[in-house]
Amino acid sequence: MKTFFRLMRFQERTTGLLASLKFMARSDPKEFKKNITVLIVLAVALAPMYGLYLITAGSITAAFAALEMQRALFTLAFTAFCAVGLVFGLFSMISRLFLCRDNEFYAMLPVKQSTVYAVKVTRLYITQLIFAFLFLTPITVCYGLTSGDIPAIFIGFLMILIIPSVPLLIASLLSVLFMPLTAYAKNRERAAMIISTVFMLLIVTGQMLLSRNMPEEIDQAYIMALLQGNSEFINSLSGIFPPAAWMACAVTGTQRLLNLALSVLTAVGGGFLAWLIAGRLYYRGMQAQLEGHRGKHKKAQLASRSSAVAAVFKKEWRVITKTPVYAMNALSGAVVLPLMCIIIGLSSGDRGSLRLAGEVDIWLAALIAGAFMGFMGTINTGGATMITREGKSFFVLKMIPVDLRTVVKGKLLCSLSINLISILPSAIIIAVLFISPVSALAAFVIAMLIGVSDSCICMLFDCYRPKLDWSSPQVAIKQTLNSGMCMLVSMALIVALSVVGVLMGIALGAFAAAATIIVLLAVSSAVLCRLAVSKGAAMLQKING
Amino acid sequence: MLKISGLNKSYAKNDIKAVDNLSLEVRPGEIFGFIGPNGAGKTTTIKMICGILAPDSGRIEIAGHSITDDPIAAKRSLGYVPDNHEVYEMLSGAEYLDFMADMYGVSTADRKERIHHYLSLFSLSDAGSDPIKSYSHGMKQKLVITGALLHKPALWILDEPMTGLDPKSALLLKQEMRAHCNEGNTVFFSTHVLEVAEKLCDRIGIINHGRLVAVGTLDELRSGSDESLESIFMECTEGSV
Repeated sequence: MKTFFRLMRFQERTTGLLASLKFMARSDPKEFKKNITVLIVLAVALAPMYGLYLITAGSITAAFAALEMQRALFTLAFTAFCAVGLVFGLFSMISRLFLCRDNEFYAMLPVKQSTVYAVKVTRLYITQLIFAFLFLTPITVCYGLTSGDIPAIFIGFLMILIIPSVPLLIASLLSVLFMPLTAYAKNRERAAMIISTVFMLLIVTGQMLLSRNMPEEIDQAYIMALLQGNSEFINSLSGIFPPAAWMACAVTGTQRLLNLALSVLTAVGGGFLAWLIAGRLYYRGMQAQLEGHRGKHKKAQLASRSSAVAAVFKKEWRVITKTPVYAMNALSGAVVLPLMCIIIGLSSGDRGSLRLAGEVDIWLAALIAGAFMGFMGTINTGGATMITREGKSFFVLKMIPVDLRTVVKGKLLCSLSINLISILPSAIIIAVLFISPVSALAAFVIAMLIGVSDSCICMLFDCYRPKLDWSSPQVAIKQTLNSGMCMLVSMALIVALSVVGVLMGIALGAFAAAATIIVLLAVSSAVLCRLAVSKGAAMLQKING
Repeated sequence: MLKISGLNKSYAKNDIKAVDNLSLEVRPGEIFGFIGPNGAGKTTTIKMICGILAPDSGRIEIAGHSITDDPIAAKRSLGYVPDNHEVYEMLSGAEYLDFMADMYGVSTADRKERIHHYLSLFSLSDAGSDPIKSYSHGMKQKLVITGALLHKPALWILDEPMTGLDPKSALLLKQEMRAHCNEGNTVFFSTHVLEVAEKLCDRIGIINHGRLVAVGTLDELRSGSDESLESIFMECTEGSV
C-alpha cells in the first residue's frame, strides 16, 4: 500500500493538472494567467449549460416520480453513464496504460507492475468520478428530497462513488486481453489502431442493434405506454446491464439491502478481480509496446519533390495515421458520422421510402442536415491540436527556411481534409437515404463552410497557446483546453447562424435563409482563413522553439 | 559567413542574462568550436543563430542575410543539428528526410543521391523505412545530421554533436565536417569534448556566463605558452559550476 500511495503522489506531481498549474505559476506566471483565464472562460461558458441540466434533471425526476418510474430513471441514468464511461474509459485506458511515455521508467523500478496498473487505473477512476458526481448527483438529491427518502441520497452517493469502477473494469479487461497481441504484430501501432477501431465499431454496432429493437413508429402514445408499463421497460433495461438495475433498486428502495450488496460486490469485487487478472497481464501488454520494430527492413522509398505546403500537408497526415491516439481521435468522425447516418437510415426499417423530399422543404432539409454534419465535423481534435502535437519537434518549424504562413496553410489544409472525409460520405449517404441530391449538395456546402470556419478558429487558438510540453500523444490531443474552447466557439457560431436561419426562414422562407447562411459562412470562412494564416503565423513566430 | 554583433538575450524579466553582448565572426572554410561550461549560453546562442529564439538585441548575419530581417534566405544557408533529436518519431527515416528535402527545396534527383550517400555512410540504409521511434539515440542523431546536410548548407551548425555517437560514427562525423569545410563551407559547433575541439577546430570561442571570454586559433589562445586547451578553458571559466 505504501508503494501504491507513493506512486500516486509521484504521478500527481509529475502529470497532474494541479501540479502543472502550480509549476506554471512559479516558472511562467504569464502562461499561468493565460491558462487560468481560459479555465474561467470555459467554466463561465459551461455554467449556464450545467444550470440548464440541473433544471432539466429536476423536471425529469419530478416527471418520472409522477409516473412512479423512479427506478427506470436511475436505471437509465446509470446505464447511460456506464456506456459513456466504457467508450471513453477504453480509449483512455489504452493510452494511459500502454501508450504512455513513462512506461519504460516504471518498468525499470523495483515495484510490482500490478501496483503501477492500479495507480494508473485509480487516476482514471478519479477523473470519471468527477463526471459521475456532476451528472448523477442532481437526480439523486432531487429524488431523495421529493420522495422524502433521505437515506436514498446517501445510498445514491455511495452508488455514484462506485459506479465508475464498472465500465473501467470492463475496459481494463478488454485492453489487457487484446494489447499483448500487438507484440506479435509487425506494425504495432497499426495493430493498436485496428484493435481500437474494432472496439469502437463494436460499440456503435451494439447501439445499432439496440435501436433496431425499438419499434418503427416511436410516437408519444408509445412513449407514454412504455413509461406506464414500467416493469416491461425496466426489465428490458435491466437485461442489458444488470449492475445499473441493481444500483437503481438500491437507491429507490426495492430490496435495498440485497441490491446494495450486489452493487458493492460488483464494483469492489469486480475491481479486485480486474486488479488480480489485469494487473498480471498488464506487464505483458505494456512490454509489447516497448518492443522494437518487428517488421522486415524494407528498402526506403523516397518521394518526388513537393511544394512546402504539400510537404507539410503530407507530414501531418503521416503523423496522424501513424499515431494510434491521434488517428482514433482525429478520424473517429470519419467513421462515426457516416455510420450514424447509416444507422438512422437502417433503423427506420420497412417504413417505406425514407426520402423526406416532398415532406420537408428541400432548403430546410439542407439547413438541418448541414448544421448536423457541420456540428459533428467540429468534433475534430486533430484540427484543434495542429501546433500542440508538434511537441518537442516544434523547433523544426522555426528552423526550416519556410514562411510560417506556409506551414499554417499546410496544417489548415490537413484539418479541412479531415472534415471532408467525414462530411462527404455522410452527404452521399443522406442523399441516398433521406433527402434530395440538391438538398444534400447544399447541406454539404453548408457543413464544409462550417468546417472551414471551425478549422481556422481551432488553428488560431492553438497558435495562441499551444501546449508543446506533453508526455504522451494522449496528453497532446486530449488534455488541452484548446479542443474544448474550439468546440464552444464553433457551437456558438452554429447557434448564431441557426438564429439567423430561423428569423430569415420566418420572414422570407427557407430558400432565403439557406442562401443567407451560405453567404455568411462563405464570408466568415474567407475572413477567418486570412486571419488564421497571418495572425497564426505571427503568434507562432513569438513562440520559442 | 557568420557574423554576430552585440547579441543579447535575457530570461526571467532580465534577471538571467543568457547571452551578454556577444560578438564574433566565423569565416568561410573554417571549423569554429564554441565551448563553455554548462549553462554558459552556448545552446541559446546557437538557437538565436538558427532563428529558433529571438534575440533581445543585436544582429546575426548568415552569408550576408540577417536572421531577423531576411530569415528565409538566412535559413536556406544553414543546416542545424540540435542537441535533442526529438523529431517526428512516428515518421520513417525516409519520410523525415523527404520532408526536410522538400522544406529546403532539394530536387528529386539530388535528394535520392544524397540520402543514399549519407544513409550508407552512417550505416542507416537498412533502417530508412523503419519508424524513427525504433531508432537508437545514435541512429536518431545520424538521421538528423543527414537531414541537415541534404541541401549542402554553406553554414553547418551542430550543438553537442558527439554526444551519444559510437567511435566510428564520431570519426565519420569529424571527417564529414572537415570535408564540408574543404569545399569552402563553414562548420560552427559546440562541444564539451575539448580534445575534439583541440584537434578539429581552426578557431575556438570560449563562452562563460553569456560572454565571449576568449576567441582565436589554439596558438592565439595559448599566447606563446604550451598550455593545453583544458588549462586555458579552466582559466577562462574559473569560478563557474
